[in-house]
Amino acid sequence: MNSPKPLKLSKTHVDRDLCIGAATCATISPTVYQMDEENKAIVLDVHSDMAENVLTAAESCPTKAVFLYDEDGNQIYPYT
Amino acid sequence: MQCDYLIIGSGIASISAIESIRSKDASGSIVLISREQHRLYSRVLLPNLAKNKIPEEKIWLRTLEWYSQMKVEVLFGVSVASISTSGALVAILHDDQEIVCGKILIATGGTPRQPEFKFDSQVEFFNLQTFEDAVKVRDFVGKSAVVFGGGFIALELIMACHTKQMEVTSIMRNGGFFGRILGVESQTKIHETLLKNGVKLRLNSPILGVESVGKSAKIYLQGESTVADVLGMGIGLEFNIGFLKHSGIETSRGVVVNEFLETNIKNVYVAGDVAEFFDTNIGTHRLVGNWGNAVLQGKTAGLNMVGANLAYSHVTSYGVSCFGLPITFLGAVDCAHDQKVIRQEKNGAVVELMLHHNQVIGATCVGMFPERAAILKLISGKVAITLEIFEALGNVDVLIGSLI
Repeated sequence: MNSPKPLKLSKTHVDRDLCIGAATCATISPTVYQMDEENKAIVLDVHSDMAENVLTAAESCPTKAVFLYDEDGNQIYPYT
Repeated sequence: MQCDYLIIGSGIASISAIESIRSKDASGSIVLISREQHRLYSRVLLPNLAKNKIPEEKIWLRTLEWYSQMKVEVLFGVSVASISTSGALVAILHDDQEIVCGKILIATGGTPRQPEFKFDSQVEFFNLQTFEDAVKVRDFVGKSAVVFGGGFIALELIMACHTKQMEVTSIMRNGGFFGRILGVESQTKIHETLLKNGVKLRLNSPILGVESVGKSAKIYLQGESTVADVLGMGIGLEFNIGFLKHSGIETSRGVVVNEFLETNIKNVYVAGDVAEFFDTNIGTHRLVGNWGNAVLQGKTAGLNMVGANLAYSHVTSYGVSCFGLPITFLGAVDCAHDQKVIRQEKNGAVVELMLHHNQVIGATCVGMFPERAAILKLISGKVAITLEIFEALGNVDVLIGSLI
């Protein structure tokens, strides 16, 4: 039986219009996401944390403001 | 019926716990009891739905397929009547069905508190806790609203009614918004913003009674009355713990748990708004009702249910934009504290720092908050505030520079 392909990310971004500053992404993955002075999440380095944890951070957003893309550039979150 | 894990409640704390359980236990049976009829949605987005800023499909956070993929048996529209802990853990539903469980997570949250004043059944009310509440606000046709309460939900209801171009009056028992937390300087900024946006304010004004007059509501205050088409209520939550009355599980305002989110009964855990947890940052039990706390407590409780031994110690925050004015609460803003430092920032924001036993335990900011990350480090790092640092707190730029 084949093992599932490991998750690899190419990029992430935060939609500032959707972000309301819940900060769960920054709490779960603080090396990837940080809050700025407007209390909006910004991206530091998507490769600085395990991909599964970055996905958990994105899924924790209450407004689906955090977008993730796999190594082929396909959007993997929010689910389409 | 039997299961390995019974999850009571269907909000983000429960879903977060399920994801944690499944990360370690792919096959254990999970049953989820949901009083609501819906899959997971974002309560944080309900104000935007109420304002008709987003379509309904934007609020759903998990598909129905997700529950199947996670091998969760969901009982929608069902609630637990009682729990027995004298031998095996057994949940008894309102239809007398019994579920024998290995472990239980209680994440039942709260229900909007009922007002103390008398009102007749014809009066139209707004709440803002459920999907149905937000749709009711969105679809309501009326010219005027009174919003009663002085917290986040009251602010959101005010803004939703304002978006609908209703004439809005804000009424509260206390002297200002977040009366148990904020000082006068912070409250004044909020009130000025509301007044600038045409909201009328009635502070220190308890509502004595409400009666319907035709299709409107007549609201009686001390020495006056006012009429509105609808009454918005933002006066807090009653936690859903009545079903635990004879269970032997310790309750206070919420369900009491230790820092591992476990109750006095082994294998019964709690997460989210209803968890009265031991906060290791400040050494006392407290309740926290924000999205971040629910996500992270669900994660921690779920991992502990599958054998981890993690103490919950996250410092969480919540904020709202009040007609463009950011209001941020960080850490334990509602707990007893020895001292408070209040600062007026150069950008006009008002920052309040709550200090207890020489540590910063919480902070609020009304306005833009550039030092947010630095103050979060002070709180989560349990940094001891010396006299020198305390004096420097009057100049936060200097303080931050010396600690980071």
